[in-house]
Amino acid sequence: MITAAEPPSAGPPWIQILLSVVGLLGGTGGVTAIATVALQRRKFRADAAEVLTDTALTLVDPLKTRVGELEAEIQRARRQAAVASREIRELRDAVQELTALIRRWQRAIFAADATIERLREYILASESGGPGSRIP
Amino acid sequence: MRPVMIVSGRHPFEVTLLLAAIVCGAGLLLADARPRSVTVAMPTAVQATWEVGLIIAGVAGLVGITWRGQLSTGLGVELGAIVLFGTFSAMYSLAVLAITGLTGLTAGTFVGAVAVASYWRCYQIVRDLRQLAGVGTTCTVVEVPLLIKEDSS
Repeated sequence: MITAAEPPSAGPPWIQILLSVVGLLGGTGGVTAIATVALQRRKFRADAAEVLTDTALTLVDPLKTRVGELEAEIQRARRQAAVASREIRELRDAVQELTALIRRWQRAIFAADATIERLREYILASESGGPGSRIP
Repeated sequence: MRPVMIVSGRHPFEVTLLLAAIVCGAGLLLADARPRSVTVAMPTAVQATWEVGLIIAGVAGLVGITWRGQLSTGLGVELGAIVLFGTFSAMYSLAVLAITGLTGLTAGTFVGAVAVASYWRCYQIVRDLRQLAGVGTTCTVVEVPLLIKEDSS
């Protein structure tokens, strides 16, 4: 019987064979791994400085925060741009309407049968129905 | 596209164990005092290989994790060293458990855990090397250089 206090000079053959095989396989595997990576170096294009290690990820967190802030700012700017373009559209409509009114008045003034009374009636009629009331 | 993340080998457990392998191997070689479980369970040639292998694994592992050149070379050296280290740890663990039985359960279990952790690390390195092989574009974002991998989906 094998005891820890007085072991025999050589153990059972199976453990010797097992450990020899394990050592052979492991040793071969380790050397093969180094040789494989060394031979395929061209396949890998990254230098150490170009790759994020897990410790370097701490550098990325502030960038993520900044990206979040910028995205929120973009949303605000888009909303402001939408409001501004709506105002521009409304103002353009108003300008077109007033230009048309002025042209109508001009035609009425230069008409062959134009009189002060008829012009007053015409302006009063247009004041009741449109933006011409704003014109003094 | 997403950045490539590599798990660094510069962790206290890995560095300390690799240093311990060098110290242990050199101590065994200089003092010529091998553990009884090793002398009983391994043939003489394997014992010598085991001793020298511990030193080689330790030195190569430390060289690999402190490699300054191409990253894949460092990872490859580390991979080979950790395969060796895991194998030598597993051999010692098996020897202790086979020869001393339950008496060596504590030592055998702990050394066996080192072997398992080594192979776990090997899996990580192989996964990282595969990622590096699939790298597509190098971009730079605010002074932090990033490698970007093509999204397969």
